[in-house]
This record gives sequence, C-alpha cells and structure tokens, in this order.
Amino acid sequence: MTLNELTVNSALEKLKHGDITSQAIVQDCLSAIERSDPEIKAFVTVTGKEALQSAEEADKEIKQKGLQAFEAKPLLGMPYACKDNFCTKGVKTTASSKVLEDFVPPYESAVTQRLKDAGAILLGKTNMDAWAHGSSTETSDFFTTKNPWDVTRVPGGSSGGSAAAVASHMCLFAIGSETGGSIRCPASWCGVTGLKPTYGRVSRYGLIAMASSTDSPGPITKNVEDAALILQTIAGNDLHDATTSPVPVENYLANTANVSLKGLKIGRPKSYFEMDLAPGVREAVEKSLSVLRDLGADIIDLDLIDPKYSIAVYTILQRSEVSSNLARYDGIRFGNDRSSFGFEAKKRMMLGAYALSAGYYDQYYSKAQKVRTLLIDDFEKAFEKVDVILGPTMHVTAVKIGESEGDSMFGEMMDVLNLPAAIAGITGITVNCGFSDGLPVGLQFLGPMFAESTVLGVAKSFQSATDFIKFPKGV
Amino acid sequence: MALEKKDIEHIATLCNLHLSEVESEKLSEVLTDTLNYINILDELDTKTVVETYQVTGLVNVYRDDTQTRNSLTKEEALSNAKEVVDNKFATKAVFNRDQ
Repeated sequence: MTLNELTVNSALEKLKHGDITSQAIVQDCLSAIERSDPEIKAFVTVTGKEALQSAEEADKEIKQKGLQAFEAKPLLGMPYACKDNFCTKGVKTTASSKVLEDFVPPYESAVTQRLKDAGAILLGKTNMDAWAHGSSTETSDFFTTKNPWDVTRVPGGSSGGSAAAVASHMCLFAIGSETGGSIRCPASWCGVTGLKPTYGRVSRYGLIAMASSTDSPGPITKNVEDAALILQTIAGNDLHDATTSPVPVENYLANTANVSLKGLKIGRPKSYFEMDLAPGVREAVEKSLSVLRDLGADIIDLDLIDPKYSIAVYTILQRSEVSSNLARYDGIRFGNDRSSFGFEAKKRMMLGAYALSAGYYDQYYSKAQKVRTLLIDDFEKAFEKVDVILGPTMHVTAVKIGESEGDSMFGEMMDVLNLPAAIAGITGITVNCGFSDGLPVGLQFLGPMFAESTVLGVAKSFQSATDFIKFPKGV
Repeated sequence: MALEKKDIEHIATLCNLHLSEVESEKLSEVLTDTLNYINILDELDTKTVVETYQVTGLVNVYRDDTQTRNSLTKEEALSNAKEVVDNKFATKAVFNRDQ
C-alpha cells in the first residue's frame, strides 16, 4: 500500500506518530497523478513543485512543534485536489472554461484559505463541466474526465475531476461544489463519499458563481469520517459571504463516531422509488434498506412531491441565476471576451435571460420560486415524521462518454433525485452501497437544514456495517 | 410555446452574445424543448403560495463596522487585464466604437 491510498484520518494518525512524512504522502500522490492522470484526466493544473515545498515546511513544523503543530493546523501536511472553480491566489483558475483559460486570481477563496490555514496542501485544480454546467465533465472546454471504474464512461459532474481524483487515489481528499447534484452525482458514479452541506454552511466567497441561491461547496472523500473532518474545517460564518449562517459549527467528527441507528426513523419517499430506476441500482438500494433495518432503524414510507417538478424548478432558477452571474464576463478586467463561451453556457444564459425578461418573469421565475416554497414545506413536513430521508443518489450508474450528446436537459434528468434537496437547501450525503455490472451505486441520506451531524452519523453507521469502500484496481 | 428566430436574436442581444447561424437554429430547437418541459409546473396550484428567494431565511445581514477586509493593490487588480493604459483598464470607446 502506498501513502496516497490512505484516508485523511489514518494519514494524520501516522503523521502524528512520526511513522510517515508529509513529503512522502505528497510524493506518492504526485506519482499516482503521473501514472494515472494521462488516462483519467482529472486535473486541469497540477501544482507539484509548490506542493512538495509546502510538505517540506509541514514536516519541519511537525519536527519543531510535535503534536502541538496539529492543534493549530488540524490538516497539517494533507494533500488535496480542488475543483477549478475555487479561486486560488497565484494558481490558474479556469472553471474549465475558455473564457477563464488564463485567469490567475489575485485572491484566495474562503474554502481554500481555510484549508491552507489548517495546513492542507493543494496538489492541483480539477476538471469540471465548464462553469459547472453539467453532470459528466463533457461540457468542459478542455477535455472529458474518465471514470476510474471504466474509462469508457463519464465520472459524473460537475465535480467529476475531484471525484475521479479521489477514486483513483491521486489525492487524500478533494473539494467540490454542488448547485444541483454536482457533488453527489460524481461521488456516486465514482463510488466515493460526497457531502452536500446545507446552503450557507460553507462560504461561497471566491467560488466562481453558478446559481448563487443554491451553490454549496463541500468535500469529496474516501470515507464518511474524512468528510466530517473536512467539513468542520471549511464550514462557518464568513465576513465575505453574507449568506453564510451564524449557526455554530459542530465537531462533526466526534458527533459521527458512535451513532446508533436503534429507533432512528428513516423515510423512504415513494416517489423516488416509483421512478424508472436501473435494476442494479434498485437492488443495491433495497439491500441497503435491509442493512439499516438490521441496525435497528425504522423505515417509514413517505409521500414526497414527484421529483419531476424539481427538474423544472431547477432549470428555471439555475438558468436565470446563470444569466445574471455570467453577465460580468466582458474580457476587460480578466479573462477572454464573450465570444469564448461554449454552447452549453450560451444555452443556459439565453434561457435564463428569457425567463427573467419582461412579460415572462411571473410565468417562469416567480412560479419556480413558489414551487420551491412547496418543496421546502414538503421536506419540513417529512422531517416532522422522520430523522433522515433515504434514496438512490442516481437512478442509473455512470453512463458512457457521448451519451449526453443532444439531450438539452441531460444534467437535470440525471440529477433528478438530487435536485429537490438542492433547491430546498438542505444537507445530503452519498456513500457507495454496492455495484451493478462492476459500477458503483450511490445511496444518499438527506437531513434537515444544519443536520450535517445526523446525516454523517447515519452514513458512517452504514459504512461501518457494510464493506463497500472500494477503489478500482489498476489505476 | 416555440421560440422563433427573432426571439433568439432578441435574447442574444439581452445576453450580449453573438450567435452563429447554426447556433441560433439549434438554440431555437433546444430552448423550445426546455420551455415545453418546464410547463409541467402549471400542474401545481401556487395561488396562495409565496416565493422563496433565500432558503435559510437570513435578512438584512450587515457587516460589523469593526471588521475590515483587505482589498487588492492596483497591480493585483490589473494583473489579469488584457489591456492596461496608464494603470487603468482599457475598454472599448463608448462613442465612436470603432476607435
């Protein structure tokens, strides 16, 4: 076993005991990138030299201060990959778009600043659908990332590079961002853990804006404990993002440790299971229900609004906010001019501008915001009856490269089971729950706003009781 | 609801986008498709429902006056500009646009 295969928590343990060095971990990650990335294509930019230098400094600090070094910097020496829509000072940040192909941010995003302050080391920036518009990385203006389980398939998206990097051990953990499934979708299709925090739990400052009313940065990791540890580092109120919540950040790692499922009420939305689920997905998720029952949970059937309406709500809200957020790119202060936008971005801006234009606002934008209220009420009523809600993360396993072509709403159709929670702003986590024809199947747990400890705890119990933390061989 | 060529041209102007003939035709098709799908929202009664614009319910968030933030230096702010004149961003002329 090489050190890049470690989880964050186990690497920290070894580092604290002096068994390994940060330089050795970073070196193993860089070797894995060198070996696997020519085929997987997870990274847009690799910052190997800087990473090795930071690792050397981390090792010096550990030598000088011993365990005390980890009190101020809980992630000291831990290498990670970051989706390329988080501004990193002095490191090119493209959002996988031609418009920003040479943009070098003069400031640091809140998420990457917090990770830097905690001692984490940036390995590079990962590929995504351009501007995060998609669920496959195929709309990236540069290249398509491959799924490490089957390189003829997409990794999911939009945080596909981050999920593929974690699944192929090119880093210890990664950062993604979700607007309508962009963390849970690729985590599910790559068989890793992905946490979508409550809206406002993690700062959006320095995150290239997609749909500002749902954008939520979050971790993609090898297991649930790592997701808990990363969340508690990046979460919290931020001076630079007025939508971040003053609700106190919890010790998610401690809260996740020993959660009993005895008597826990888990909701099973009938509408999610009445969908056309792939047989292998249905089988794996149904088996998971038995596991949870055996652990003492009560599974309760729920009536939730058909997720097909979420597709329409999301399409209107996302396109509208995109048309506003992408209006700023004029090629004057930074980036290239508007002729560099790809077709997908143009398409989304156009629909958004139409939905917001005089005469159509009430019919589309206002209507969608009203249905959003219905979706929020629907979840609130459900959470009066149950502690968490469970469902498949994706209704199918990873699709073939090229399959999305010609489907104007591919992302929304694929993310149908992720959209209700994204629109309502609640938290959700996906973990692997089995395989179908060799491809991972994701199981998600949704919780009320700011119930990250609950969903992490339930997901951790499920992970401990099963043996589905697996990584593809030969990458 | 179908979006005609003139609708597409109008929206492109609103978006400050130049479209090729091929793109215009394709957009007219896919945007019409999308609009037809989102009409399913009419099946839901929202007569007495109010809109939600902000999901966590925060209102009027002000920054504490004692907190300051660092701002960019002029060099940093200009560092990504394609064209800089006299330490300022160069834009196209507003009048006489060909200049």
